[in-house]
Amino acid sequence: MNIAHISSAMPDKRVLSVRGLCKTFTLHTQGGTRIEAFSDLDVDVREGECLALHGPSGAGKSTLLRSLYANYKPCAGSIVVNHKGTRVDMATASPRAVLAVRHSTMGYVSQFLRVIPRVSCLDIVAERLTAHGEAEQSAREKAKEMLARLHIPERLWRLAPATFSGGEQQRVNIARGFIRRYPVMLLDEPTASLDAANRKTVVALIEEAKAAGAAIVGIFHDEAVRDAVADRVYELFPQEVAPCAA
Amino acid sequence: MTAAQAATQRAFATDAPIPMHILPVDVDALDAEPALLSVRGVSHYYGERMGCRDINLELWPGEVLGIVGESGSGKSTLLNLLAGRFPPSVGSILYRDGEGVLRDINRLSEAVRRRLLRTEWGFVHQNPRDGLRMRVSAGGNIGERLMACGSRHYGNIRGTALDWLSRVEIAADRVDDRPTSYSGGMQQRLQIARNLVSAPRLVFMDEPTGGLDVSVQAKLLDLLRQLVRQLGLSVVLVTHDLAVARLLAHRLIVMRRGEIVETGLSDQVLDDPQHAYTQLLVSSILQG
Repeated sequence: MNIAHISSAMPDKRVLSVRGLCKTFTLHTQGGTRIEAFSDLDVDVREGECLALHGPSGAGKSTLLRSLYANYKPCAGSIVVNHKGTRVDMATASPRAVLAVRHSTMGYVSQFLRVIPRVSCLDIVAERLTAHGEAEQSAREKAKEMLARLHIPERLWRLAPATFSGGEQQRVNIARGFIRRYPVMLLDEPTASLDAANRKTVVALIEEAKAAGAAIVGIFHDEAVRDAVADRVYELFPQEVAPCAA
Repeated sequence: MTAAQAATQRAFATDAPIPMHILPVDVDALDAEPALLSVRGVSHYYGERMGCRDINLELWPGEVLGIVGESGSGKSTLLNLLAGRFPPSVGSILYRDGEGVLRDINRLSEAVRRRLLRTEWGFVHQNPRDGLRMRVSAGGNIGERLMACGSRHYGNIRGTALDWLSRVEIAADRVDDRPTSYSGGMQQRLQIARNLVSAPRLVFMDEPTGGLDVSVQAKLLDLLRQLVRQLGLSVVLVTHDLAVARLLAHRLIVMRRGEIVETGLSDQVLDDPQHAYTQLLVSSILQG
């Protein structure tokens, strides 16, 4: 019995339900080497709960997170998410359905900001709100608040983040990820390489999202952060690399 | 089975026990919407030589579809077929026009075809010289397309032309200059303005950033991204640049030797490519 299984006492609050999930990479350019990241995973996540993925490097934590977001394509299994009252299986949904889920239901925060040339960091953050119909003015006000909370100096707000330091880019990314509350949030090492003050802010943002009912799945390298935010821990174990016989 | 039912079935295609409170109350409206462009069993041969083979695809309203692959993979052949520049040897290309009528683009009367090309479609060439009239002023290049759509009032046309020049970040005092006096990046932006001024529903783009310096490319990419979003355009974009594809396209088609070898969500195709050829393409990118 996996510890991430939810007792049937509270079936009502599940927003994410993973069954029999497998992921194997086949590297055609490297002699067909097969790398099994994980197999037969079952995970459930409820409203307002934070599940921490835990395991050594190479255990497949990021691969699982990316699979939940449909950035990686699982080999088998299902990832059923509650999207506006409908169940969508991210493992088999059409690209358009996946985009719809990402637009309104599922948010993903990675350590790295994929820089869009020339767009100011204020607009990068505000865009998340205007894309949902919020007026430009109020979206910008909220974006400023969020950037200030994450200690991004005001003189940087109008600049494109291409020239920012790694830590600053990461915080812009977090601001963008948290400015809108998604019912499901996937966090890949959101506090990696942040200083204590910013770590505290991120912990507070996660707590606020949980209090608002968000289901969170995250990888937290920092033990103190994990202890502070995680309600349950899901252990992943490294798989063996099996060379392809064919 | 209707498209809506099919979509519902897809959304529920799982054996996993699912909490009962999540009711199938509504099908994703996106999936129920009819396609703008449907390509069915299209092949094209240049004499003996195959240009592309057995192509099936759909483009939905508001979607940017990227076609990637190396030179000679058939991307440009496919783009030209989709844009009705020549008919395929086999198969059909169906377009749902502004009135909702599904039309086979290779069976249109010449009058209807011209109307579509002028009003509902745009085509952005890699080389702006192929899409601009080089002996006509910048304002004239934009105004010509408006007049083709029925505008007659000189003041309005000039006003719109000036507005579009500013949207593509060309100074108003260059309105009377010919494109020959423009830089490559400005010419490309002018070509985009000329195409978008008539508010087309569907725009074809052939390597729109291909011939430009990297810094100019970044500016154009950002501009394209904004315009596509603001105008809700449907775009078919051919590019060999995977970074451009990732930034602009929702969905990708990977072509090799005239055939589609992989298709899917852009970031999934690029981050977790399934086909050997796509893996090769992705792994060949130089890390900048």
